[in-house]
Parts: sequence; C-alpha cells; structure tokens
Amino acid sequence: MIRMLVFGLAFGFVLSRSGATNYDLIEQMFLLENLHLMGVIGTAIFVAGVGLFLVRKFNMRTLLGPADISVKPRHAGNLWGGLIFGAGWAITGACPGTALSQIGEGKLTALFTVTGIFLGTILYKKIGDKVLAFLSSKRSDTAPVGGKAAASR
Amino acid sequence: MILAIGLSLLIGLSLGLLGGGGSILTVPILIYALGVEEKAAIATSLLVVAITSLVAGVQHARAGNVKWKIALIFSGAGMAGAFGGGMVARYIPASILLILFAVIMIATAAAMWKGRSKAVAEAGGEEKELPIGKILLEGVVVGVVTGLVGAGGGFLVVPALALMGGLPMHQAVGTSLVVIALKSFAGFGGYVSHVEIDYNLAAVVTGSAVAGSFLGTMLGRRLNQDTLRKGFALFVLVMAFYLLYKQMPASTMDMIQNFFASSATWPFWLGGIAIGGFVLAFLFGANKLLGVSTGYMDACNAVTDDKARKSWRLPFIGGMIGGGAIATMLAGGLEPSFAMGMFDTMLSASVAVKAVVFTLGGVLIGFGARLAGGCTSGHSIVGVALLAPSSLIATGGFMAAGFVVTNLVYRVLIG
Repeated sequence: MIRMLVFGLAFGFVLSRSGATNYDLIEQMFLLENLHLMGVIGTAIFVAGVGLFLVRKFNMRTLLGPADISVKPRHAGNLWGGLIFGAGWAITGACPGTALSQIGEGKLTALFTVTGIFLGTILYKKIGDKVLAFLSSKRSDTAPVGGKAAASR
Repeated sequence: MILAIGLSLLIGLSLGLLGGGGSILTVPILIYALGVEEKAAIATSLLVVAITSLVAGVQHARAGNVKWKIALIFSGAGMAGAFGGGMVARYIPASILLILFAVIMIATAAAMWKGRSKAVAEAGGEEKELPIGKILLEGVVVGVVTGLVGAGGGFLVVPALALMGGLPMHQAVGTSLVVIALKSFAGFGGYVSHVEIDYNLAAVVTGSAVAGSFLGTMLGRRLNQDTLRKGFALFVLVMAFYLLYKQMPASTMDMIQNFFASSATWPFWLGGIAIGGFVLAFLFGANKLLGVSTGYMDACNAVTDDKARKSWRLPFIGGMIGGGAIATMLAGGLEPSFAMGMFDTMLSASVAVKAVVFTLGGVLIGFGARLAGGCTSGHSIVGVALLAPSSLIATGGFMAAGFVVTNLVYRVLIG
C-alpha cells in the first residue's frame, strides 16, 4: 500500500513537471502550435521501449520476481474507444492520470473532469459489454473479446 | 558533556551488541552532535577506536583467541600505512576526507547487512603457510584508509585474517581487535602532529564507550543478532547519506533545489526521460506495468466489492493527487482556482459552463478509456513502447480525435 502511494506521488509529480497537466500545452499540441508534449511522449516511449526490450530480452527480474509483462488484447474497442477518449482528452486537456495530478495542483476544474471520468466508467460498467459486442459483430476481422477481460488495465 | 556521555554510551553499546562496527559512528557524532572540527574528530575517533579495541582485545587475548604472529605482521604493515595516512591527511581538505569516510560507512553498512559470508565463516581449522606478501599489502592498504578517515575497518580486517590467515572466526575477531588497536594508535600518531585534540572530551567519550560495550556484550546475548545487525546497517547507511548531504557544496545544493522547486516546466527530453524512467522503476520496484484508468474502475467497484478495495491502484491514484500538490507547493505555493489557461482567454466561460463541459469531457474519457482498454499511460506510453497492435491502434484513435476536436473548437467554432 505505502509502496504504491509513494509511486503515485512520484508519478503525479513527474506528470506535473513534464507539462502534461498543462491545459494549454495539450491544446497547442493538437493545434500543432507547440510540440513540447509530443517530445515528452516520444522520449518517454523511447526510454520505456528500450528498457522494456532489454527486460524482455534478458528475462530480467524485478524486486518482486520475474517481470510480469503482458500486452493489452486487440479488439474492436481499441479504435472506437480511442476516438471517444481522444475527444474527451481534447475537451478537458487532461487524461485520467493528469486530471488527478491537476487536482493536487489546485486546478479545481479538474474536479469536474475526474467526476466525469467516474461517470463514464460507471456508464461503461452498465453498457460496455453491449457496445463492445455490437462493434465486434460489425468487424469480423477482429476476434470479439469478453468485456471484462478487455478491461484489464 | 552529558550529551557526549550519552552518545558515547550508545557507541559502546552498539560495539558490544554487534561485536564491532559501532566505532563507525564516532566521527559523525563528534562532528555533528558535539561540534568538533572535522580533522580533530577523525583523530579523536582513532584514539577512541584504539582504546576500545585494546580493551576488547585484552579480553580475547586472555581467552587465547589472538594469533600473535599474523597479528604482528598485519599490524606492522597496518601501522606504517596508518601513520602515513594520518600524516598525509594534513594536506587533504576535510570535505574530501569526510566523503571518503561516508564511502567507508556505506561499505560497512553493506557488509553488516550481508553478515559474514559462508567462505569466511567456514574458513580456518587447518594451519597453513601464511601468504606474507599479501598480508603486508592488504595491511598497508587498510592501514592507509584507517589513518586517513579514522575508521577501524573491522569489516576488512576480519575477512582478511580468516581467508588469508586461515583463522577460525573467533580467532579472526580476537586477532583483528589487536590489529585495529595498533594501527589506530599509529594513525592517531600521524594526526597528532598537525591537529589540536581535546583530551578531556576524548577521555569522556572513550570511557563511556568502553562502559557501553560491556553493557552491550551482556545485553547482546538476549537479543536477535540478525535483526539488530540489519537495523544498525540501515542506521549507518542513513548517517552516511547525511554526511554526504552535509558535504555537498552550497552551489550543488542550490542547483538540486532549483531543479525540483522551479515552477518552470522541464525541457521535453527531461520530462520524457522522467516518465519513461518511471515506467521502468515501477516495473522494477512494484512489478506492475503503468496504467491509470483501470484505477477509476477499481475505485467504482470498491464501493461494493472487497477485492477491488484491496487493489494497488487505489493508493496509486490517491498518491498522484498528492504528487501534483507537492510539485506545485515546491514551485512557490498552492493557489486553487478554476482558471484553465487558453480556455478562459479564448472562450471566457463561467464556472457553471466549465462544470458542464469538463464533466462531459470526463465522461468521454472514462467511457473511451474502458472501451479502448486503457488510456494515455497504459496504451500510449507502455503499450506503444511494447509495440502492441492494440495500443498502436488506440493511440492512433486518441491522437486523431484529439486533433480533430481541438481544431474544431479553436479554429472552426471560435476561429
């Protein structure tokens, strides 16, 4: 518990300092006016990618045993969910992580964002399975996946 | 004076409890608790170590645990090295000596944490030809270190005696005490030519330490040695870092403080390295792949579900709020407001309008993240880093919709 709290503190701090919690920087990235956050995301992917590649290549161990690395399942929800998420990202200038960090920063508008994310999550609990089944039935090239399993991370 | 007696009793207590290692605390206590000048503290420590080791060594010698031949060879080399080290210390800045001392502390802590290695514990039993050259060389090296920084280096001497001299454990410990006492005296001799020493203080510290060590020896038989040793190792480690922290030049401290406190956003490469590095640290330290949005689901489920209540994601997302707060407070203070940058300047909306817009936006985020199977952290950073097809597609969706909607709002609707 305490370990996770400390990691959470660190991640919230890093998100704040990297500029990811800055509404303007998110909007300017999508307006192609300031690509700072593109650089942040690209660098982060590169660093994590090289590290994870080495971890998998050499079967490195973590402090808590062999590294537990799994890839998220591919299904029809990836694209449609991605599009819906992207719209929300653009409107609020936040994603689930940065919205939390924003609250800590004293950006009170993020309270609405977080409330909305909870409402959206509850909505998915109610109708998500049906939506995913509907999307999967229209797309025969991707295997349908049971709702809960898809929401693994 | 009472402080000096109390702390010295503690030094002795740890010496007696653990059979060594306690003297490593003498130098930091003299400097930071009793206000002794750095080099004088090292010299005083040498004297304290020499006398406490001598007292313990005499007890061991009576019990027949001292092998005099190897003790004298090792001590001869050690004394030469220590005397030289003590003399040379005159020309070395105190801060360098203390950094070196901190390094020795960290090594001592590591050696204490690990305990005695099997090879050392099982050494000895058979008489063997002494490798005189090796003993002389190691003696000089350990001696120089002792003379320079004022630590006895028992964690170096005991294994050396056990492995090179083939001594069984109890003899290695007894013999090492004689060696440490002699070379510490020699190191003190090297220092005394160029340092003022407060002999009253030295006498008080030594006396209390010796008394404490008798007490420790009696207590030690009743306590769990393993736990004690590890606890002490951690304490030494903390002290070592404190010492290093104290020795940092003010300019370096300022740089580090500015770095963490500055309100300026980090340059993109640094932010990226920090986030990517966090992913790896999180995997190494917690064996979890980073992901935030499922935490919201667990938080929803926690209302009714016991299992979700124990999810690691709850303290994690709770911590993230605190992380943002720390970042802002370090940057000059927390000033809560509903301000939202460009949104205000371009759209000038009331708080009520914002409430509607941001809540609806949040609903899209929450629903979309669940449908896509993750959010920017789990899909766009970790998933893309793993080149997962699902994550590449989801991230394409995030970016495409973000681009379209933002341009729609800022370029078309109010353009």
